[in-house]
Formats: sequence, C-alpha cells, structure tokens
Amino acid sequence: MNITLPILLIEDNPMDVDLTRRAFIRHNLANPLEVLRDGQEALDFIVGWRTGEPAPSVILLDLKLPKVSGLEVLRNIRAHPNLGTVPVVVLTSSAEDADIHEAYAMGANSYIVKPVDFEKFIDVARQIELYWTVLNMPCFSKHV
Amino acid sequence: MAGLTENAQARLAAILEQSLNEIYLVNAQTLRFEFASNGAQRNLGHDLDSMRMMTLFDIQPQFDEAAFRILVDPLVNGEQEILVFETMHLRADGTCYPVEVHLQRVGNPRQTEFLAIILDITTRRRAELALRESEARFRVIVNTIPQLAWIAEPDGTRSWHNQRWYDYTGTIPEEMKGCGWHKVHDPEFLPKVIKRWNDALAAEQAFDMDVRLRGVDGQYRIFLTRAEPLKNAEGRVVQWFGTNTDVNDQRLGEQARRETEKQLQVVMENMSEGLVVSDFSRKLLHWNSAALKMHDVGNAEELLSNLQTFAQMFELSTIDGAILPIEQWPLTRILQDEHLHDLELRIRRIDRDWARIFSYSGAVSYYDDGKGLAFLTIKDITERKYAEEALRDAKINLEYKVSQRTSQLVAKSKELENFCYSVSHDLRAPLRGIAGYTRLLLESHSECLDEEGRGFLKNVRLATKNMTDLIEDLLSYSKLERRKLSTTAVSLPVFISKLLDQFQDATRNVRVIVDVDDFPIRADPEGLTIALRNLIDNALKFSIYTPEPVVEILARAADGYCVLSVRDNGIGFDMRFYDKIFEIFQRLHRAEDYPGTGIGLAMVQKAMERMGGRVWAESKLGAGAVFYLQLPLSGTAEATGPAINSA
Repeated sequence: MNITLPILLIEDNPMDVDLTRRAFIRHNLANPLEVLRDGQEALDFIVGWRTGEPAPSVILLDLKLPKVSGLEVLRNIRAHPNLGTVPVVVLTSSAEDADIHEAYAMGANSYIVKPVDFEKFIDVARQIELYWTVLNMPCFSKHV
Repeated sequence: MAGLTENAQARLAAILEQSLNEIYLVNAQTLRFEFASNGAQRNLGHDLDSMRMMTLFDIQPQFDEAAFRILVDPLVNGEQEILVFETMHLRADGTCYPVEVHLQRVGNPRQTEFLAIILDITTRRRAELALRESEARFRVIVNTIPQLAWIAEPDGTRSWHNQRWYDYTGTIPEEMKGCGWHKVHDPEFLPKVIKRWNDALAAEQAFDMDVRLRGVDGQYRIFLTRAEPLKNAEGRVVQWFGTNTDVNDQRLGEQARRETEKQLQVVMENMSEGLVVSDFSRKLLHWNSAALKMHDVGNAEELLSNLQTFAQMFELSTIDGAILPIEQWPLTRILQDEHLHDLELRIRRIDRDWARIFSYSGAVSYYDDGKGLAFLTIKDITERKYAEEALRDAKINLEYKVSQRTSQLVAKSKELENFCYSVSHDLRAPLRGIAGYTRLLLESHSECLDEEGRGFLKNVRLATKNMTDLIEDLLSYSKLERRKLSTTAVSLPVFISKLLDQFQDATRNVRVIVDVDDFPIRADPEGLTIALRNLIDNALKFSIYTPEPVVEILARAADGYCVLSVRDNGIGFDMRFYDKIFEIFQRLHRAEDYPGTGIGLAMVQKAMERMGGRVWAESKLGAGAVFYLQLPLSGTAEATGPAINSA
C-alpha cells in the first residue's frame, strides 16, 4: 500500500482550505493535500488525469462550489473509468436531507458535516485521515 | 093545471103518464101513490093499481112513515119548496136501485100532494163509486210512494197532503191548510220558494225546485219539489199535484264532491310545479296552469291534447344534448309503469327559439278496478341549472387559481428552502472561519495578547458559539417544518427510557420520576423526540438552581388521546406570558441566567402541530411548570413517507 497517495480537497472557501490544511497538519499528515478551488478545476483534473498517475487515496468534496456543483463533480468522478473507484467523502456545511440523499445516491462513500467548532474540526480531520488513508483499503484499479 | 086548455091538460097528462122518467104524485096525508108514470111502473115492476095501494116509503125502504114525515116536514110547513135527496127504490122483484128524488108540494091546501120526480142514478152512482175507488187507489199510491205529495188549488193554497208529508214534517192537516206549508220551509229560502211558486202558478207551468223542509226532528233536508198543473177539458187549471223527493244525501254528496273537486282544482292551479295528467292512451287529460305557463303555451292549443301532437312542437333531450325519441319521454316511461324521480331533461320548442331545463317526476296511480292515471310533475330548473353551471365554472376557475397559487406557494417554499440551504452553508462557513482562527489565535498567539485582549477573544468565541447554536436551532426548526413525517408504532416506556439515556449527565443530581403506561401510540418518532427532548431540556434548565430538582414524566391514555406531561419544580413562569412562550425567539429570561435561543418551545409546538397533536402548559412563577403533549392514539394527522427510526 502506498501511504503517500495524496488527499484531494475540492473546496472553494480559502479559509476552509487553510483551516483544513492546518487541521491535517496537526496530525503530521503523511499524505500530501492537493487542493482544487472550484468545480471546473475539479472537472479539468478528472479529464486531465493520466493512467499511471497515482490516484488520490480519498477525495474530500465540498458540495457548494462555484461554476460546477459538487454533485456534478461527483457524477463525473463516478463516471470516470479509473477514478470511479476512489473514495469520495462529502465534507460540507449542509446538513440538508436532500443533499445527503443525493450525495449517497451518486456514490459518495461518506457524508460529513463540517463542524463550526475548530476543535471538533481537527478531530474530524484526524478521523478522516486515519480511516481513509490508513484503515481503509482502496480499490487498486487495473491500471496500477 | 090551471091556465091550460083542456086539450093541453089532456096532452100533459098523457105525457106524464107516458114519461119514461119516474114521476109520482103522492097524497100528502096518506102518502099513498095517486099517480105513477109509465116509466115508474116499469122501473118498479108494479102496475098503477097496485101502486095506488102503496105508500112512498113502501118503495123507499130506507124510510118508515115517521122518518119520512120528518123529512117532508119543511115542505108541509112551506119552509122549503123542494126537497132533493138520494135514496134507494125497491123493485117488485126485490132488487134496489139508487135514485135522486126531487120532491115538491103541489095542489091546494085542501088536497095536498107531493110531486116526486125520480132520477135513476145507478150510472151516476157507479161512476161515483169508480171515482171513489180511483181516489182510494190514488191515496194508497201517494201514501205508499217515498215522496211527500200534496194537492194545491189553482190559487196555490194546499188542500191535501199525503201521510208521508205529515209523518215527515210532524204536522197535522189543519196546520197545513191553505198556506200552512210555509211553516215547514227553511225561512231563509222561503221568499225565494214563494216567488217561484207564484211564478209557476201565474204561468201555469210545472214547478221544479230544491227546497229545504224541516222534519219532525227539527232538521232541514233538501227536497226536490215538483208540481204539475192539472187542467180540465177547457184547459183551465183545476189543481196542482206536487211531490217532494228527498235528495238531501244526494245533494250533500254532490256538494261535497264539488267542494273536493274545487279544492283539488285550487291546489292544482296554485301548485308551483307543473302537473300533467294522462290516461293510458297517452291522451293528456289535464294541464294545470303552472304546466301551461312552463311550456309557454296557451291552454287552447290543440296540440296539448295528446303526446303525439305535443311532440310535434317540442323536443326533449338529455342534459348532455342527446335527443330523446318519444318512447323515452318521461310520460311514456311512466305509462310503462316506471316511477320517475327528478329526471332532468332539456326541452326545446321546434318552431321557435325557446329552451328550458325541466325536472320530471311521476308515476301511474291506480284507482277503482284497474283504472289508472299517469301524472307527471314538472319543475322548471333552468335557473338552478344555469346557476349550477356558473358555480361549476366558478369552481373550475377557482381550482385553476388555487393551483396557480399553490404552484406560486410551492415556488416560494422552494425559495425558502434554498434560503435555508444558504443559511446553513453560507453562514456557517464564515462562522467556522471566526471560530477556527480565534481558536488558533488563542492557541498559538496568546502570548502576544494581554489579559484584556484574551478576554475579548473569549467573548468573540462565545458570540460565535451563540450564533452557531442559533443557526443550528433555526435550521432544525425549518427542517421540522419541511420534513416528511412518518407514522410509526412507538412504545412509550421504551421510547422515553431511551430518550432519558441521552440526559444521563444532565440528570445526575435530579430526581427523575417516570410513570408511563405501556400503551403503543403511532407517531413520528423524530417529531416526538424533538418535542420531548426540548421539554426535558427546559425542565432541567429552569430547575438548575432548585435545591432538590424533580422532573416527572407521565403518560396517560384517555378519550382516544395520549397525554404526556413533563413537570418540574423549577422557577416556573408567569401565566401572563403564556402566549409568548411558544413563539419563536421569545425568551422570558436573560441569556446569562438561562442560556437558550428561544426556539425550543416553538419547535415543540411545531412538532405537535405536524403530528396532529397539541401542547399546552400550566405554571406559577416560582412553583415549577408542567407541559402537556397530546397525541391522537390511533395514527397521526399527517402520515406520509417511510418510517424513520430515531430516538
């Protein structure tokens, strides 16, 4: 298992990006955190991803993104022949039933509401990292 | 024989002698016959010689000498010149015959004689007898007939009444003589009767009239009175013969029938419904005025007499416009023994622009033996139908408007949802920034701040926390409004026990009493959780300064409802503010004393509303409070969506 696989964060809010980064740094994140700042960037990344490049260990996806919505990004990820199996954790401020339902319906692996409290957020970051990059066994696609 | 010539005397004597009439000359002293005409001799069967030996009372056996002398005394005295009497003559052969005797005194005072001229009245007697018999028969007849009968004189006075008259009126002949009959007539009508009677007398024409006669019982009855004048050979009225026939029952029956008919007529003519009566041959026997008016036809029109001709002018169709053949017309159907009740049809004049909508009812009614009449009642419901149509149009219009409004509302509601989504997402993100960076500041750069600065930072973090709570509660409230409810069987003891598990820390120093009957209710578990959790939260919060806090949770079922109560012995509230406590953002306390967003009880109320229940409370300031939740025992008002398990 390659533990240095990157964590891909798709998030437009610079403060959330910064706080997420800091939260992960708290725990001496071994995996590099790559950030895409809007839905379009995310779609470009998916399209530009080359077979053989290391796939992210987990994608942290905000739902409310400029240009292209998080759910649309999720649909594209799942439709991708090789990236389709990458775990996607929705990390968002919305606790709306509809959002949760749709996210799962489109193949989200997990749905986490971002806590406002930073202490709790740090804890969330720690658990995500532990679970998705350490405990969870990713699906190694046939390209690897 | 003085004054006559001898020749004349001789001739007269011969004539007397030869006279076929009975002529006698009788000696007034001896009463012996001195002379008897030939006719007398022949009639009696005695010759003159024998007759000279006989007295008058020898041939008149009804007299003896004494009686005869008394009879002729007036003649002897000269008081009377002639004596006429009837008696019987005895023939020589012993037979008798009736005679009328004309007796007078003749001769001089020295020799007084009686001249007797005799008429044989056998024929007359026979005729008289016949008349008497005929009269007797007549009396038997007129006393036998059921009518009262009477005879009046040409001047109108009554001379005779039959026995029935006396029996009926209870009068006696003396009373009825002349104009006595007036007494038994109804005085009210008598003048009229008298006038008619006098008119009849004057005109000598038959009299015919209903009169009212009083019976012996004092009651009047109606009699048909008829009188015919009886005329003699010269055509003069000699008598009137009248009868009174009792027609009381008949007349009263007729009157009652006429009255009934008139009443029926009045009813029929004043009915607001049209009424058409027909016989089995489809002949239209009667149209009341409402029916005529409804069809806009005059009553003289021939075509109203039967259905076929009627059909030449009118066309019937269903409400939807399908034209009906005459076989399906209401009257035809009724005549086939169908009962119609409010059959609504369109009717149209063929010859001109006239159309209405009628409602038809009717049936055949049978009477006597197999006789029957079809009656059809008709109501003009045109206006009502138009009104209904207008109403239907208005309803469709209204439904359209409602659906329009509904979609507008749905759009608004969607907008509101989007707003809430934005609140949840967009307000939380900056809050997270504030919370995150103040935390980092306090953690990593605390030494750069003095005590006051650090205090400020703590207040910022506190405010952030409050705002976060407010947003979370607001979101919960809006979610509660929008979310679909489930109807799940909930066992209250289990449900409450699980719920209290979540309050383990908070209830460490509180005596919690749970007394919940074990009955299942059907409710939305999440809604019920929200309601109960908020009430328990409040109970704990407002009794936090109470020395020995007690929270009591009860559940009882009664009258189809379950009532849950949560009681505390905390600070309570003033019932003056009762209306405020369930309003959103309303608080009765300072935040530093009792923290809260003011949404809790609003949530409780909203949850109960949505589950078809209600919430109410009782309290006294400083004496604790009790909140009640009421839920219907069987099902909830809003029962949609899949069951969601929570709690």
